[in-house]
Amino acid sequence: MTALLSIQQLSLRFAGREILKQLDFSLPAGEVVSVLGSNGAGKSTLLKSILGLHTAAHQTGTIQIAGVNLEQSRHQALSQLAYVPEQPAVYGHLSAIENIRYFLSLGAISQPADITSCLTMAGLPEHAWQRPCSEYSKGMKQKVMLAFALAKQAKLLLLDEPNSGLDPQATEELNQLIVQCKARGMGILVVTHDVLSAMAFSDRLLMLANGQLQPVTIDQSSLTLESLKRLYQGQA
Amino acid sequence: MKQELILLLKQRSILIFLLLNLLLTGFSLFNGWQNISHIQTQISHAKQEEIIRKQDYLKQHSQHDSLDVGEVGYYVFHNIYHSPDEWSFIALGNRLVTPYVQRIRLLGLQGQLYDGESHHPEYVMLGGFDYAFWLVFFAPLLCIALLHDLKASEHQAQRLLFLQSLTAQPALFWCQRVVSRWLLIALTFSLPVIGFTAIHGLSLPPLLQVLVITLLYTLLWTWLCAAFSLRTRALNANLNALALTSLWLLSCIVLPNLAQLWLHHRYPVQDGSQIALQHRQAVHGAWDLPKTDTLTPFYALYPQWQDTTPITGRFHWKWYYAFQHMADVKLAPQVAAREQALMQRDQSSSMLSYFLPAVWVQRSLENIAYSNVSDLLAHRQRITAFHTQLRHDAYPYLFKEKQFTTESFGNMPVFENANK
Repeated sequence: MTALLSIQQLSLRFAGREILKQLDFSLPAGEVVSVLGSNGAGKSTLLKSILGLHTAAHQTGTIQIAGVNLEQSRHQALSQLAYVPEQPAVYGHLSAIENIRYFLSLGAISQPADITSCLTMAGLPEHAWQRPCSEYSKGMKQKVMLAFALAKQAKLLLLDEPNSGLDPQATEELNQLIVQCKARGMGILVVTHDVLSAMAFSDRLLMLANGQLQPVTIDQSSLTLESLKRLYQGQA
Repeated sequence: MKQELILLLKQRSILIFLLLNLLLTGFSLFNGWQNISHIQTQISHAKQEEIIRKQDYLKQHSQHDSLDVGEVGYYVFHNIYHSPDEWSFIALGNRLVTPYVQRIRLLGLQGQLYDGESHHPEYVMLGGFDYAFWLVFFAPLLCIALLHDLKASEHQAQRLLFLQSLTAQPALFWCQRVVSRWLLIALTFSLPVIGFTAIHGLSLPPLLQVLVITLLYTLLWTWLCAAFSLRTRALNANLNALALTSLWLLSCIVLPNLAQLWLHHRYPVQDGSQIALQHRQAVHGAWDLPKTDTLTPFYALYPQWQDTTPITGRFHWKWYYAFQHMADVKLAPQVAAREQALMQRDQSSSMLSYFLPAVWVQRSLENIAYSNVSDLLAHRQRITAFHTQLRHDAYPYLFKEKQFTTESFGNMPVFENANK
């Protein structure tokens, strides 16, 4: 089966510093992978690479999204993925429906799914659909972003710190949504600091350190602040 | 594009800016129209007044169907009209500072030509609130308001990366965003003009010219703002706004004024009142000169009148009008130099306008409105031609001493009310 995300020998260098070193990674459909890492480890840089936002001058290696080479067919490759940033990117003066319509128009999506069904699936209450997003909580805005991903019919979902700034209930709702997306066959790559949530929905946990992705296993019963510190310092 | 327009028009601040512009553009047209209507009303009243005044004169002064042509030349004023064109409301230009109704008589022209109301210099500097003023000064500000933070606002909202992930061709995305803003700006300037044209049934070719000028000017400022705010490092909206406003100040106010100062220094123009004063001095001086000092050069110019009956008394109207005219002849080189300097200023200003878009727009709209320097000088030429016509009509009665009848009075030339 073709991996939804395939990264081969990805290296990235900025200002003389090698941020990613010959990184190899593969994400099949229906799998959730969480990438952990300390601040400045290169997690956001990795996401930018997957989004095709680094120039060839800085980057070497190959990235394929649903079998499409990102460098050769950026438009086709990007049409297969949905990216949800840490701060929900909705326009405050537009409603949820208008935001999704606008984002779909930018991606020139030929056959989007029904927006209202996607909003229902994302768990956004119907009475909020036509209200401006400036009135939403952060959790509601995240739901709009996920509804957009569903409407886009993306195969690959990239989530950057999805639980940041959410209360426990909103976190729980979002985690469930991620699991639902996984059940629909989406491949999901999550960049996060929230180890507990990551453990709740991930099939694999990876640690980005020294430009490399390393698998990690965490024993939830013995998880302490000290053990987390050691994990981030690469001493686990 | 449709979604881009929805995104833009749903933003209350932008909607307010655009509606305000629509409203004030309409008001600028209305104000220009009111000014021109006032001028037309005044001209219409002046025409009626001239007819009544001449009839009254005829009633009071005709004796046995005859009049004294010298007295008619001295006491009967003839109105001169600088009628506005159909599209003059778009740019009032020189019409604000030059008289639209003047009264001249058979006396020397240069002593009468510069009579007019004096205008407050600060008012003159500011100009009238017309479409040209509004477009030249406000269109760049509207472009700055709508385009200064194209990238910066998305960066500030942490949306930039997300948007870049959505679009395969970022250049096309930004292009759509810029074009949608330009369309709305251009529409808020153009729609009131189109509406005004339809309501008043105005001719279409000037409308097309006005629209082309509007589109080009707003496009230029849109391009400038977009080029500046889409630079890689243009992520500080305040800094962008400050830089673009400085550019506006420089290109719309500072440089045009400096250019005008330079033109005034490069091509000095003698003040009209100075010419009028010199004319008066020449006329006053002529009273004390022997009559031959006036009449010999006059007959050299008009040999057809040299066989006239010699003047024996202390005063004769033909001598009086001859020295009036000779004062004009004496000042002719100065008048020509003045007009030449005005033309040179205008030509240089035309050259400069290719480097100063604000000046180009102002001049182009004044050309459409016939409110420019060329129109002013052409109007002067028409006045001179009319005055010459008046003189040539009166000279046979003065020098051949023909009887000036009421019919002759009725046949006196009337200023051709040229529209342009």
